[in-house]
Amino acid sequence: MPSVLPGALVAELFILGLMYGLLYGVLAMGLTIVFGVMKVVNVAHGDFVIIGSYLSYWAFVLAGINPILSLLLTIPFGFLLGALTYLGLIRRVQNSPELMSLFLTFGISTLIGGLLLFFYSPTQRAVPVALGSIEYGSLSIPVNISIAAAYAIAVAIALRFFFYRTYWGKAVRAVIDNRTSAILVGINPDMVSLMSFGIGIAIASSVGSIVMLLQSISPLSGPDFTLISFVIVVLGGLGNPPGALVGGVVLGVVESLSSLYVNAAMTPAIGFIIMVIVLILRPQGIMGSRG
Amino acid sequence: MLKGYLLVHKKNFVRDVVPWVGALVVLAFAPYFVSASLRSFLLFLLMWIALSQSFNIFTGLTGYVNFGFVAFYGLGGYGMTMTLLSLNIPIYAAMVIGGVISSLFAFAISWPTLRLRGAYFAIAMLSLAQALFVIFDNWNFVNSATGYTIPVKYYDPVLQYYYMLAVAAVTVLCLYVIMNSRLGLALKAIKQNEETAVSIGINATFYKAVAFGISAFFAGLAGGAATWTITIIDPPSAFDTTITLTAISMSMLGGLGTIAGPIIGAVILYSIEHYFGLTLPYLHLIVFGIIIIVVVLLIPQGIMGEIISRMKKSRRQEVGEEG
Repeated sequence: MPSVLPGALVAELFILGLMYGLLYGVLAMGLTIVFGVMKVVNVAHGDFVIIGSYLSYWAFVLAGINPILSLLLTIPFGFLLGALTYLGLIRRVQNSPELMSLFLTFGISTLIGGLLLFFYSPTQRAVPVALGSIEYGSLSIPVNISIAAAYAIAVAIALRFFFYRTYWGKAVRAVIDNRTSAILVGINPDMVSLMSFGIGIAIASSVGSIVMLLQSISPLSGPDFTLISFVIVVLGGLGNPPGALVGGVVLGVVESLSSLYVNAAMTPAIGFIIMVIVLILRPQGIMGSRG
Repeated sequence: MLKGYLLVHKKNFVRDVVPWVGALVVLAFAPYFVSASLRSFLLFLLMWIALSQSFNIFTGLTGYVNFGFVAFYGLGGYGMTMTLLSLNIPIYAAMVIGGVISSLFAFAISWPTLRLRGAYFAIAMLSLAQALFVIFDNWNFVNSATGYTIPVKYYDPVLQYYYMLAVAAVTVLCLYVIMNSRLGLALKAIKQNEETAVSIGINATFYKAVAFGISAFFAGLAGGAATWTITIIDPPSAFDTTITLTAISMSMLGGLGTIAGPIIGAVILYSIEHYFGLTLPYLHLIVFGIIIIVVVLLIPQGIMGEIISRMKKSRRQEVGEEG
């Protein structure tokens, strides 16, 4: 638990904020990739996180698999789920007005929440893993959030490799940059969309597994994660993956340090205020480009 | 001169007005010949008509999705309750004040939020509603998580019915007036292509703010009337995102941007919720989710929207054959 020295407390809060920021930033990367490729805002993003969480929860309860190991399950499952959702539903609103994809994913979000509530009831679920903390001099950092941050960094590195060293990754970047031109050079936009949505949901579900190390969840927790992802994406600029990571860290640190002055429950309000301020000053986000 | 400002083109008075007046008369006399439970059903149906229509006034006419819609409902409810309990004024006055507070809030946030494009705006409004919930939950001035209870002396189920009927009627009437006014024309242009509308001199920010404020006012009125009927208000019930969800589902199913649409959507969905939702919990979430998905994929304009589209298409074909 945090130490008493004020300097150490601030440093701890900063580091905690940084680590949470990395995790949520990576989650937001999934959302922003989907938007960049398909211009679809996935309102159900957080609900897919919860699906991953439940998968890990049941893996633990039924088979004793710890959440980190369950990543081997949730990542492929997430990708598959994303691909299927894209093929069945999202593909049809890609070329419709933005309004329609907002409503569609809103409907999906509602449906997921309703199904989870129906099958698993609103009880909070948690995986009882007590990992303790590591001491760094006068700072005390919990192990679980360190693992989460390490995972986030691993995902970020993997994505970087994917985007810059593989054909499909470059294809995704091309489509985000200019869809028409990408088609002109022979890239299959449908396949790129499929992969992007699959990756986005795979990221979301895997973050859901990691989340089980940090907190309890319920079927209604989805929108909280969606909201955090949205705020970050807005900060970083829609369709800008590195921006999402930066935005995540900024939000994480600001929210964490603000807990020194404000009741911790008020964090959504702080997120909103930050978002509005950024949007007023730079409507394209911190790292977005104009237009 | 006012008439010229309000009416863009002449309508057939009998065809357009009589059915609505007829329905209003039937609903006005309903408490005399229906059971208490049916009257209660009608009361909440009227509430959802009012809510989905006020949602329609902004989202249906401008195309901006207000995912934070419940904020207006909640603010109206709190406004009504707090002024009623502290100032001892007639209830209708408290309701109007609640509506005014809600629309003042809408005007206040309209500058930072309405300049945002579609997706950004939707996200901002969603997080606004969340922020309001969290703020009210921790704010002593509004009694934090405890909320308020309206004392028994104010309870009057028949009068509550008439107030809700009045709110619904006025909301629908206002929507009709707006749609046939220059404001409505400007909003239509903005909805089709905002950049073009601005380039021909339409002050988009102003017109959007007006629609936003009006939508908030009626949502606030409905919120006040609902709170009076339910007698309790607290942050989770006042800022419940399910309310936004339901208003969206009803408007979409019936047809955003039409007058009859949200009413039809409200009738269908509230009847389903009332008669089937009580048996299996959370089923209505699943049903609403599926309905929204199906509507978006198959009948994106909603029931009324599709009907109107087909009527226009067949009229065009008729004219084509003649000319």
